[in-house]
This record gives sequence, structure tokens and C-alpha cells, in this order.
Amino acid sequence: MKKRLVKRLIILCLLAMTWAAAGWAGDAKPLSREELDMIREISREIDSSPYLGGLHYQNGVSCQDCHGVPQPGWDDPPEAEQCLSCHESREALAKLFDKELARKWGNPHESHLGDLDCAVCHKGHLASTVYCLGCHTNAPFSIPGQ
Amino acid sequence: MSQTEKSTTIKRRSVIKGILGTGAAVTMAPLALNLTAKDAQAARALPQQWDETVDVLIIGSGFAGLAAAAEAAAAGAKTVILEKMPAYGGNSIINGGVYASWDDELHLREKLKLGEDSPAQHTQDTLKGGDFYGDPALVKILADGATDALNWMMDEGGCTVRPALTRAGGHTAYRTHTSTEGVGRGYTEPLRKIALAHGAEIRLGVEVAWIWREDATGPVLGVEVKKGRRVSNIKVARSLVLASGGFSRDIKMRQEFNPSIVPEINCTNHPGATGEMIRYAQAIGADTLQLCFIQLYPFAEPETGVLDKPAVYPFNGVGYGLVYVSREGKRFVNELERRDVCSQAQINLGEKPTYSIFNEAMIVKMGGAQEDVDKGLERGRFIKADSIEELAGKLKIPAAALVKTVEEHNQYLKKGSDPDFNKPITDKMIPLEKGPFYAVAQWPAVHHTMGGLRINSSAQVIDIWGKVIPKLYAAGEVTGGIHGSNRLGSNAIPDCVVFGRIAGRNAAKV
Repeated sequence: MKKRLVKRLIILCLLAMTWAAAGWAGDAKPLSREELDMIREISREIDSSPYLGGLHYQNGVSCQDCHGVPQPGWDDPPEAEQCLSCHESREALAKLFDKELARKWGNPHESHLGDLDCAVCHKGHLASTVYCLGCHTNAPFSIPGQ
Repeated sequence: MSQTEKSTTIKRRSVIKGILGTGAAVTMAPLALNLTAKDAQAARALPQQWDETVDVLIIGSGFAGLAAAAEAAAAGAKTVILEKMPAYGGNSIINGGVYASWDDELHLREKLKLGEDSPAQHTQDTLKGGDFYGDPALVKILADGATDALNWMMDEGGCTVRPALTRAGGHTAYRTHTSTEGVGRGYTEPLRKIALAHGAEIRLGVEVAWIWREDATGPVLGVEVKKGRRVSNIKVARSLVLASGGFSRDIKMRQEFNPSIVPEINCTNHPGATGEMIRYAQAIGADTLQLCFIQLYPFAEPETGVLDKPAVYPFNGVGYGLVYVSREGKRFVNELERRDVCSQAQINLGEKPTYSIFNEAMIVKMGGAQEDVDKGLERGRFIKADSIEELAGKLKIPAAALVKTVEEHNQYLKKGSDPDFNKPITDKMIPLEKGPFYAVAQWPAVHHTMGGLRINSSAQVIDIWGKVIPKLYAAGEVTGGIHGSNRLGSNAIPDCVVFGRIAGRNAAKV
């Protein structure tokens, strides 16, 4: 409990510092009130969140590790290359996919739509969704962080 | 909204604008044209400043948008494509990959000795296939331009086609080409390559929220766009091109124009085919036509409506003798009929699915590939058997009936006439005598909206008063009046590429 409180305090301090620094230095866009509220809400739930952001955080991955900045706003979504700096490559991910499912339904990591951005399916702070299911409505695909 | 109501709205708008103009000219920007606004509260001010300016802005990244981008960028315009979906290509990248053209640089028809054809014959088939509701001038442009557009994709984009041609429903010649990939991606990738090589930019996940125009005589000024939670305004220095596709996935819009297409019918389209650009264009005065003409693809995967590779075989195989049978093992239609006729004949049977039956000898000739068939077999989409009896057993349909149907059809091919459904038999059709035999299940699904924005032969959008809307072009499924009441299969890609190129070239003009 105490540990969590400290963690939260650190996040809030960092948040205040970035905002102040950005405003003062003028080299980064200061975050809006909505963005700060969003960060506060995400920080509050990050220890128990079932979504990918939470799952990463609970395994020792910080906000900056994915977003590239300590206090990410709307303009700082994680890019595919950031994901792949840990998750190796699309080809490697494709190999992890269940072979029987891939044979019958195709492999989502070898999509016929080309290389999609990871975040099309894998959402950090929302339930992840399988984009394939928009058309292939009966494909028995599941995804972590749902 | 009737014409009278519309002009009333305009008058009211002008009055409001007049008041604002005299009283608050210093602080208020001019209002944006919105013919759909019901009252003054709905009026919005034009952007006072623009976040960005581009020469040619294209909405949609399918065949038409990519072709337009390729031409506009090649003409030296700073060209940007906005795509609202997270992947490029819209319906085009998942399209069945069939392309109607009387000729090609390989001269396949001549080489394969598949008879005569001409642009005039293609034009005539297309007009007849749409019950002569299509605009003859636009149809002629499609048929005349199809070959050059295909050769252009081959020469500049590295597009390749399978060494086969087929005669598809409603066509009177063997003119349907298939991309090597067997899907629309075989054309979207070459088009994307050409567009990017000329410097066009494609932005994903950017949705148009409004088209800005000040009044009913002036040009289009730009668009309001949304990316995630950010809203911004892009000004067009030269022109805006709408290449945003049809509205097959918008059930409400479908119902509004054609209530017979009930919500329960499956759809072959990607989730983004929702037609809002048609509504935005209407709000700034664009005219539309024939929105009630909505096509069902007769051979989609019965459960989901997906148009996968196996679902193209029933379309491509008929020129080589493929037959359609019901669950009773009986034929129910002339297989060379148009899509609307084939769809209705199935719906009349009352119970899904129906099946296409073909044999191995037809696969390569119809533009298929053994590799596709093997994959389809693995996925359970194709069913294979060494005899017709065995095939019937696997499909759980009456074997005696299917054997009788196939034997009778074999006789019809030999005699050169089909007394049951009056199919025009050709000497390219192969009797189903030698196995292995294959079957694929099929059922109609909503596929293409033939109606849309009214354009002229320069791809300019026409307004409800019959005048050109300056700086606004449209191409592809978002337009109407080309295919009439029923689009012939394999005419969509030439339509999109030919008119996309015209739109792009004209939009780039200063």
C-alpha cells in the first residue's frame, strides 16, 4: 500500500515537473488539462489494469519504455518500432501464433492487409480488439488485454 | 429534402450571413455552406486559419484514390491521401482481383485463342448489364481506358496477371483478367508504388469531418479532419478528390435507399464502407443519382459474407463450364447470368447455401491456381472428391440428383444448347467428366453500391443545379451513374483506375 502511494507520488511529481519544464522551456508542447487528467486516471489504475499498459507496467515496463517520454500525451502513442524493440519482429511474432489456427484461419501477424500498426489491435489503455474480426466475424481469435 | 426546402435554407443562411456581415464583420468568419443545416444554430463558421495547405487532397486509399494520387503527384502536385482506416486499401485491397479489359500488353485473348472483343463490345455489355441506366459517355470512357490503365499498372507498378482470361456473368467475351495474387492487392500495391514513387503521401487513421465551401457557386476550400482526438483543417490549393468508396456497410443508408436489402443480409465489404463522404458532399451541393441500385455478390462465403479467394471461383469458372447447384443437387439459373439475376435466383431457393461444382481442368483456365485451391481445401472452403457421387456425399446433398444434373449439363455442352436455362454455350466450356471434382459453398452478400455522386467525363462533381463544383472531383464507387442498375463483375477495378487517373490529372491542374 505504502509502496503504491510512493509510486503514485513519483508519477505526480514527474507530471508536474514536465508540465512546468515544458511551459518554461517552451521546447515541448505542454499537456492539456484533458491529457493530464487522462494520465492521472491511467496512473491511478495502472497497478491493477487488465489492459496491455497495466500488464506491461506490472512487469516492470515504465510509461517511457513504450511511449518514449515520461509523461505521454495524445501525440505520443507507442510506435510499432518501439513495440518491436522488445518483441523482436513481426515474423517472430507470427511464429508464436498457434499453427493449427493459422492453417485454418490465417495468421494475424501475416495479415493480407500488410504491416498494420501494432496498436490497431493491441491497445495500451483500452480493451484490445482483433481487427480481423471486423470481417472474419467467426474467426476464433483471442488477444491479451481484452 | 426537396428543392424548395433547400433553396429556403440557402436564403435563410444568406440572411443570417448578411446580418452577421454588417454587425460583426470584425470578429466573425464567414459561415460555411451547409445545405443540410436545419436552422441557424447548425451553421458553422469557416476556419479562420488553416493548419496545413496541400495541392491535391484525396479522400480514400483504394484503387481510385491511389490512381488519382499517382497521376496528381506525377503532374507535380503536392498530393496527400487521407485514409480513415488503420490500413490502406479500403475494399480494393480485399477485392476479388478481377479486371475487365478487351486487351492487354500481353495480348492474352489472342494468344489463348479466346475469340474476338473490342472496347465497343465491352461498352455495350456494361450498358446492357445495367439495364441501360448507365451514362453511355462514362461507360465508353471506362471501356476505352481499361487496357491502357492495366498496362500502366504493369509497366510502372510491376502489376502482373495470371495467364488466363475468363468470360464472366453478363460479359459476351473472354475479357476478365485475374491478378497474380488472386486478390485486389495485386493492383493496390502497384498503384501505391507508383503514387509513392511520384511523392504522394498516404496518411492512415485520418477521418474527414466536413468539406468546407463558402457558398453554392464558389470552389471547395478544404476539409476538417480528425485524427484520434485532434481536429484540424487542411486547405486545398488545387483540388479535392473524393475516392471514398460506397456505403454497403451502412445499413441505415442502405435501407433508406433500398429497403429490399434487409439488414440481415451479409456484406462483403470492409467496415469502413459507410458512405459519409456522400453526405458531406451533398451538404455542399453535390448531386447524387441512382443510390437505390445496390448489388449483392452472389457467391460470398455463406456464413460471414466474406469474399475470400474461393469465393471468386464461382464467378470466374462459368466461362469454362462451372455449374451452380442447389441443396437439392439441381441447377437453378443460367450461370452466365448477371450478378443480380444469380443472387435473386438463390434467394428464391429460400435456403442457403448453394454450391459451385468444377473440376481440376478448369482451375488454371479460369485464372485460378492449384495453390489457392489447396489452401482453400485446408480451410474447409473447397470440398474435393474423385467422383460426383462422392462429392454429393461430402456436401450432404442427394447424389442421384447431382449426378443427373451434371450428366445433363455435360450433354448440353456437347450439343451446344441449354434447354433448361438457355445458357449461351461456348466451345471453351469443359464437361464435368474427369475428376478430381471440387465444390465451394456460396450465398449472396451486399457488395457494391452503384449509385453515388454525379460526375461528368472529366470526373468533376456536379451540383444539384447541374453546374460543376469548382475544385471537387470524384472517382470510383463513391460516384454513380456508370454501372446502372447492376455492375458487371470485373468492371469495378477498371472504373476506379480509369476515373481515378482522370480525376488525379485534372485535380492537379492549377
